[in-house]
Amino acid sequence: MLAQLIVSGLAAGSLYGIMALGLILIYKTTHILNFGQGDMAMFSTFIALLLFRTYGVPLSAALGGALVTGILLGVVVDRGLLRWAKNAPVTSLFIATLGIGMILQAIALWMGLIDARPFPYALRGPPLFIGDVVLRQHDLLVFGVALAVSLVFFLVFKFTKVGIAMRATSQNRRAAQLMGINVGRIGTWSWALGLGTGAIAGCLVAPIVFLDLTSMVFVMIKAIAAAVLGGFTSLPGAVVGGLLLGVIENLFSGYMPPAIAPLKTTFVFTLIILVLVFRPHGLLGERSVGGH
Amino acid sequence: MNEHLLAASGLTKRFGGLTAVDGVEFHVDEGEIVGLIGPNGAGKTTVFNLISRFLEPTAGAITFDGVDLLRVPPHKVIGLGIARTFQNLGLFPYMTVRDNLLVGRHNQFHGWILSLAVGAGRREERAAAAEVGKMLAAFGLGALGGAPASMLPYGSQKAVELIRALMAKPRLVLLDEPVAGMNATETQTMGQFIRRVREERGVTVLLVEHDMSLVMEICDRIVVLDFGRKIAEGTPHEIQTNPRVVEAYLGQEVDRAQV
Ligand SMILES: Nc1ncnc2c1ncn2[C@@H]1O[C@H](COP(=O)(O)OP(=O)(O)OP(=O)(O)O)[C@@H](O)[C@H]1O
Ligand SMILES: [Mg+2]
Repeated sequence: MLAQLIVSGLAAGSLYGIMALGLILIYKTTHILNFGQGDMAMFSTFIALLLFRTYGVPLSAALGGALVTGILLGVVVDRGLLRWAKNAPVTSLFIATLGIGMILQAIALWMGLIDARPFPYALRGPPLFIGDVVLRQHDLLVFGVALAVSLVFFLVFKFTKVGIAMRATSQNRRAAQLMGINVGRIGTWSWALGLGTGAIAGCLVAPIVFLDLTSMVFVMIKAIAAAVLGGFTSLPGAVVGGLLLGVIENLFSGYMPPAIAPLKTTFVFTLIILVLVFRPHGLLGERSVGGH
Repeated sequence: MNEHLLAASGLTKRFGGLTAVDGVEFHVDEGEIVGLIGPNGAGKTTVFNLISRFLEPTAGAITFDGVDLLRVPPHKVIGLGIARTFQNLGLFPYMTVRDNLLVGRHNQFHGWILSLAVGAGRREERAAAAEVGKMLAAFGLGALGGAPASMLPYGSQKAVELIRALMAKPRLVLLDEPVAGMNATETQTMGQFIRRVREERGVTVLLVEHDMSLVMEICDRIVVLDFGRKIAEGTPHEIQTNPRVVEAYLGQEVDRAQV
C-alpha cells in the first residue's frame, strides 16, 4: 500500500514538476508569473488532438506538433503581446497573462478544438507489476519525460550560451545587459522554452483527465504550489517540490478516513503555508542577496 | 570631437522635478585615467547610467570614438568597448567567480546561441587563463574561482567585478567607487591594479570615487560635479586648491554635521 501510494504520488508529482519548470523559467528571467500557463498548455495540447483526430497525423508527430505550438506560442506571447506593454508594472502583466489564457480558451472554443473523447495514451499496454506495486505504462512515460526534461534544463543552463545568459539575466538584469546580453531576446527564449515545457506537461496530463477548457487549471495550481515549496526561483526546487507535493497528497488521501481524504488539496496548501513560515525561501530557494 | 575617446556635451538628466545632471560637458582621452568626483548625490552614478544607456538623457549628446552613443541599445555598449562596474555590486551572486568571468566574455562568443559556451570559451580561455589567473592572484583570489560570487567578502567582489569588466577587452572602463568598503591595503592593491590596467592594456579609465587620496594619486585629470553641474576640472593639484571644490565638499560636511 505504502509503496503504491508513493509511486503513484511520484507520477502525479512529476507532472506538477514539469509544469512548474516552465513557469519558473519564465518567472526567473522576466519576473512575470504566467497565470495563463495552464491555458497555454491546454491550447498546445488541443492542437495535438486536432492534428491527430482531424488530420490523421500519427500520434508522435501530433505530440511534436504540440511542442512546436507551445514554443511558437511563447514567441508570440512575448514578442507579439507583452513586448508592447513592457513599461507596465510587472504585476499588471500577471493579469495580462491571465487575459491571454482566457483568449486562448475562447479561440479553442471557436475553432471547435474541444473534443469530448479522451486524449490518447502514447504508451498503452498492460501495467507492470513490481512486487505488489502496479505501474501503468503511462506512469513510466511520465517518469522518463520528467527525467529527460530535467536533464535538458540542466544541460542548457550549465553549458550553453543561452542558458548561461538566462542565469545571468535572472540574477542581475542590468549587469547582464552590460555584458552584452540582449535581455529582451532572453525573455523570448524563456517564454518559448517555458511554454514548450508546458505543452509537454499538457500532453502528459490530458490522457489522465478529460481534456476540456479548464482541465489544466488544477495542474497549474499544483505547479505553483510545487514552485513555492521548492523555493520559487530554483529549478531543481520546482522538481523536488512537485514530487514531494504529489507524494504527500497521495499519502494523505490514502491513509485518511474517507470523510477527510478529499481534503488532500486543502491539507497540501496548509502544509505549504507552514513550510513558508519556517523556511521563507522554500526548500531549495535562493536567499535574496544584495546587488540587484 | 573625434580626438576624444568619450565626449559628453550639454548632458542633462531630470527625474521629475530633480535635475540630477545639468548640462555637463566633459571628455576622456584615450589612455587617460580621469576622476569624476563630487559630494553624495552630485550625479556621478547617473552620468555612468547615461553612458551605459540604462537611462535616456533629457538633453545632450554623448559620443564614443566618434559614434553617437545615444543610438546604441544598452546591450550593445560593451561591443563598442565600454565596460563598467557598479557602485552596489553587479555580480551574478549565485554563479561561481569563474562563471561570472565567463559571462564577462559573453560578447566575444560569436557562436550560435545554443552553442556550448564552455567549449567556445575554452579555445579563448586557454590564451586568457594565465591572464585571468594572474588578475585573480593580484587580489589573492587565485583559489576562489569555484566559489559562488556572493560568498566572497565585499572588497573581493569589487575586485572580481573589475576583472569581469576587463574580460570583455574594453577600451574604456567606468569604475563606480571601486574601493568603497575596502581597507587600506586592499585600496592600495586596487589603485596599483587600475594603473597597471592602463599601462599594460592601454585601457582608459573613468573613475568615480570618494577616497580622495586614491583619486589624487592615480588620476591624470579630475572633473568635479556638484548638484548635477560641473564646477571644476583640472589636474589633481588644481582641484585640491580650487576654492569651489573645497566649498562643495565643506557644504556637505556641514550638512552632515547638522543631521
Ligand atoms: N532612478 C532615479 N530616479 C529618481 N531619482 C534618481 C534616480 N537616480 C538617481 N536619482 C537622484 O539623482 C541624484 C544624483 O544621484 P546619483 O546616484 O547620480 O549621485 P552620486 O553622485 O552617484 O552619489 P553617491 O556619491 O552618493 O553615489 C540624487 O539626488 C538621486 O536621488
Ligand atoms: Mg553614486
